[in-house]
Amino acid sequence: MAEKENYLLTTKNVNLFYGKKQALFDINLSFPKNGITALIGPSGSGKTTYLRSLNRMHDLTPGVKVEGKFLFHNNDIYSDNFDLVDLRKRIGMVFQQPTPFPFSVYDNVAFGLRLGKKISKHQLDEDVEKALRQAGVWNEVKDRLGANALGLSGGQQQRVSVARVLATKPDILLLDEPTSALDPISSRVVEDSLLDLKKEYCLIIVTHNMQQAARISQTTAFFNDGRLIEVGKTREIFLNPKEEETQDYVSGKFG
Amino acid sequence: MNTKVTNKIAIGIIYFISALVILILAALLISILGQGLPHVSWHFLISHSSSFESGGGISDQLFNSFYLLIVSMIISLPIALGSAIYLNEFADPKSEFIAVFRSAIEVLSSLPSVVVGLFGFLLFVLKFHMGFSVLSGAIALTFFNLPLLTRSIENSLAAIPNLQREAGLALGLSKWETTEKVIFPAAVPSIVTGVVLAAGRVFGEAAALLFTSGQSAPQLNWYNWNPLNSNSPLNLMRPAETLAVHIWKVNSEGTMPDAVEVSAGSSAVLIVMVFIFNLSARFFGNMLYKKMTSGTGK
Repeated sequence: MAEKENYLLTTKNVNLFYGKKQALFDINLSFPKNGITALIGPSGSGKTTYLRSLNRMHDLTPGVKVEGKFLFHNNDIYSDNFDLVDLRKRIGMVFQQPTPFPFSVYDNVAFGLRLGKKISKHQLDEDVEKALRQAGVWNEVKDRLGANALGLSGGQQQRVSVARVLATKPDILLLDEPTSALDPISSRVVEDSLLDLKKEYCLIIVTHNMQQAARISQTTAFFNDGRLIEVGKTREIFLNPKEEETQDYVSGKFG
Repeated sequence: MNTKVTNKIAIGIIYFISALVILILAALLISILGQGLPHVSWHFLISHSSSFESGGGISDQLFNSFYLLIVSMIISLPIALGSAIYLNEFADPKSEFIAVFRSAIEVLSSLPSVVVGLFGFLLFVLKFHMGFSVLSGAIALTFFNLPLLTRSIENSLAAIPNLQREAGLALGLSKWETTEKVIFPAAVPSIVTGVVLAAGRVFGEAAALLFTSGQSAPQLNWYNWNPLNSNSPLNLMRPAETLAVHIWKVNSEGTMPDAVEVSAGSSAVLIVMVFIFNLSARFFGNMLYKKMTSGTGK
């Protein structure tokens, strides 16, 4: 299994329970060091639930039980000696709605950086600029870094949110329907930013938009009813799926 | 009757009711200010009150009102802040303890202030031998103020969208760091507004103070700032009649010949002060919001 070593994150036999109700059944899925993996499936299929298990966001909800192995750099992220703060820095998350804090654009992006060790103003400036460039929003905000991030357009806010996560230099970026609250043009700009990022990062994106999955991802995983039905190269999933359920979903018969 | 007509009638009624409310308030304000302001002069504001002669002022009462307000805020604000943050950010909303906690706050907030005053009288003034004093009054005001303040701070925190909490946690912040660095700063403008409005309410409070900070105002010596001296403005253990209490006292047992004028003037001053509190609540809230959101980095 030489291929295995290329995976940055490997999950094995993931089961997840909301109280007594089981929401995820035996998911086995691995993610390479770079590239985009899309998680698709109808509402309630468990794709977002699965995504949120990857940086332990479920820890915040009482009554959620997660089982299985989550190997990240060969360490189980659910083991007791794994530092949660460190985990969330290395596996960043972008939400459905843009989530700028009510501070300036600069402070938003610098936020994660200031939490860690002391860094010089010069270094901070550089890192903020780099993150904003990576998120593809630098040219639009460079003249108003001091302005409130809440005053930006939705698409800009979302890219600033991406920049804020990138600034902490994560290995993996989890994106939970990052464009569903945006208009098509802003969505396109965010997508373009993601395409640039896939060269360096492992991106895992949950999306309802199948065209989006087809446009930007290399690998697609199809979820239904808490089960991973099929995973494969995006082209294969859309053009030549092995499972009938996948076929029905991607051709629009349900979902 | 079609919907257009119903709509018009409904709007008409609503306008009428609003106009009525505004009219009543305006009449009240105009009458209080109209009767009181002519008696307000610089002399009235800066001289001691007199018991038997006319021409007394309200300087001590005015100072006492502010001093009590500040002391009671120093006591109640940290407590209210702590309990509001606990209730909104950390408490498990389903636990029974929290349900009891919440209803206790609700009961406390609807407690008549005269009851708070008598409670303070029995416990602090008599039992703890604190006498009629600034401190007794400030603690009574804290009882009166705490539930309202806690509620208002809790509401300010609750108005911050949950997504902000998740975003903070997803950046690797602990729950406390998220509260401290994201949620609290975002809520500060509305917290400040709530605090200043509460200050306005406390400033006008009389019943809770009648039997706690007392109904007499020793003539304060403005050159003596040693808090241990009995006529020092800063002394915590001296009796301190406030402006609101003064109005009540002058009306019920005032022996000065110009009692009517003193009462009218004091009322006008009180109203103006409360008005200033309300205006500054809005001003400070907006200012802080702008300051906070315009960023510090660049």
